[in-house]
Amino acid sequence: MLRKNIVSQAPWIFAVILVAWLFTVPSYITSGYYLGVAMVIFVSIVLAASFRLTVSAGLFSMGQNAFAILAAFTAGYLSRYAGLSFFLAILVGSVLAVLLALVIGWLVLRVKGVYFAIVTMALGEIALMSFVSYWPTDLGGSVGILGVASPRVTIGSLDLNFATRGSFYSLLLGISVLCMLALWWIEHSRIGLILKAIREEDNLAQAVGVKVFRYKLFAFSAQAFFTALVASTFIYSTHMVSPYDYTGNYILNLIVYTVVGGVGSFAGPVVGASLMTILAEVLRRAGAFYDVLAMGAILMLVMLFMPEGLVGAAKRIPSWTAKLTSRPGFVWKRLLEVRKRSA
Amino acid sequence: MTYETFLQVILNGGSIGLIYALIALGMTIAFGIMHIVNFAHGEVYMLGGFVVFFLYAAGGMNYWLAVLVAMLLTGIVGVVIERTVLRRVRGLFLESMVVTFGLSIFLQNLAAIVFGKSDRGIPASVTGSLKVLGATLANERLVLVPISLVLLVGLTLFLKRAKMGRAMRAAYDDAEMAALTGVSIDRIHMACMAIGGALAGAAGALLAPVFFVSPYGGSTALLKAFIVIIVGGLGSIPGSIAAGLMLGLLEAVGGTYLGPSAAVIMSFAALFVFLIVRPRGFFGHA
Repeated sequence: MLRKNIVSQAPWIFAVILVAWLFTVPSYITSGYYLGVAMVIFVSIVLAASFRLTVSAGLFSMGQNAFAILAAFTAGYLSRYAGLSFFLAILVGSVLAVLLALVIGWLVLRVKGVYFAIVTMALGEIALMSFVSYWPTDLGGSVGILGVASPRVTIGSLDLNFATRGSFYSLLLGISVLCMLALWWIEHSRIGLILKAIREEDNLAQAVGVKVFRYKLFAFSAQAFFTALVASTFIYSTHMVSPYDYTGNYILNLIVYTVVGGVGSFAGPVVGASLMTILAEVLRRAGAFYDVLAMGAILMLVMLFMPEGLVGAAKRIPSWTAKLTSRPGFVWKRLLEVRKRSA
Repeated sequence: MTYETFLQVILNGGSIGLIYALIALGMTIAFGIMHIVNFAHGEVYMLGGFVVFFLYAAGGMNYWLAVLVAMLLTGIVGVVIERTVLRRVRGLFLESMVVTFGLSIFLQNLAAIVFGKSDRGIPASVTGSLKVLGATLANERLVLVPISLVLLVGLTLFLKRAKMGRAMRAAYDDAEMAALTGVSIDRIHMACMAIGGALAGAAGALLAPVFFVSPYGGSTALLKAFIVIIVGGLGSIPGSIAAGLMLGLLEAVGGTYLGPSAAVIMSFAALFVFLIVRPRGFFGHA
């Protein structure tokens, strides 16, 4: 009994140890580069996991960059020009993104499948184009917003300054962990089950009394919230916002992370985002375009030959071994049979 | 705004719109018969433009011959994509979308590495201009109209009369029944991609002198094709032609009077409105 409990708790224990270790990393790795890559990984994980939330509701959304760009510009503008504090700025950015998601979702969630994918892709393009062409240049526009100051939070007499790379790393890690806990909770709550039911057969779910539209809208706006939260937090790491960071490649990356890791499990996007971010970082040194080229090729090959992703394939290993040992010709089984017969 | 400028804008928009219809037709045929959405379709269009650039602008070949070579090559590329990639995800809707999206990104960046990422200008195919009812029209745009009409009529005749065309229509109605009567589904899918590829290649080759060629041109073309097939109705050929014309006109009118970005945003807005008000498009099935 105890052993079974430890086995079922193992992923949690592993996650807690991993996060605790990640918090200690800045104390001995001071290289800004490695901490920077780690921060990109944290953001990628949350982005991919929230993308998976919509996929788990059967929605293939390709417009996350719209929410990311809106929140990033809002937070950047509020911090740089209106002097708002960090937490207020990212909160306002994320709330705006959720409002956009509610309005857009209310409009587009009545279509499904490829229509939904195309219309959300168009939404991302419109958002990008609006910020490039119509946002006034003195408020950012195609130039973007430069010189976003590091966050400094004062609560009462407590004065927290996140000016160093290491301290901001911890802040971003904390926010990412909270997002992941919330996403985990959503998936394993009643809401998660209902979303799964909607993905399997939304008409049936509707027939047994599930308010399908409301749950889809929830998944769509929750995804927008988490995307907006980490995207707006990340601008304080690079101290700038540029609309060109939110092009189609942004969406490509989310899809690659999720597919490579595996859509089927919560760990999928975590594994996929970590590996692919590091791979892209390495390939970028080979020359321009090679990283994106590889992402495209990997996405295609994984979908063709390992559609369940890395985590899904790893989960199959126990069943392979079981299959192997249960094969009639398997030597151990034969030995056992011989022993039985002789007994 | 004079009457002459307006007429000029309308005719320019219409000629580009017919080309949009050519791009969208390949996608709509693939959707109707193979039930896949091919995200790599735009890259086939881009390739058509580059063939013309290398053969005509850089190599000095006759322009029309270069267009024919482009069509042939892109048709072959279509078949190769079907044999190597699409065949493995046949009948899997979401998977085919993800796979072709990956392929599209791969081809786009491969083109950027091999051809260079800069935009390439291409000299006009035909020079001079024509005065029609007081409006001055560049011949290089006017010439698009008869050529795309020939291709559209040719496609319609092929689907109506040719044996393969009839088999394709049978597969469109009911693939299993068609297979039962001895039609080879493999060959139909290959024909689909060959025709779609050649049409997209023709569109890329024909638009190359009007605009320019760029490794990223495919994604713009893909978005336009998406707008056209949704507004026209996924799987509908007359719908694609009507919606292509509409998009060309909308862009020309919007672009002239409100600026190029506004034209693009307007065309996306049209997509939104259609998806919400009439998701099956002009002529699409329910």
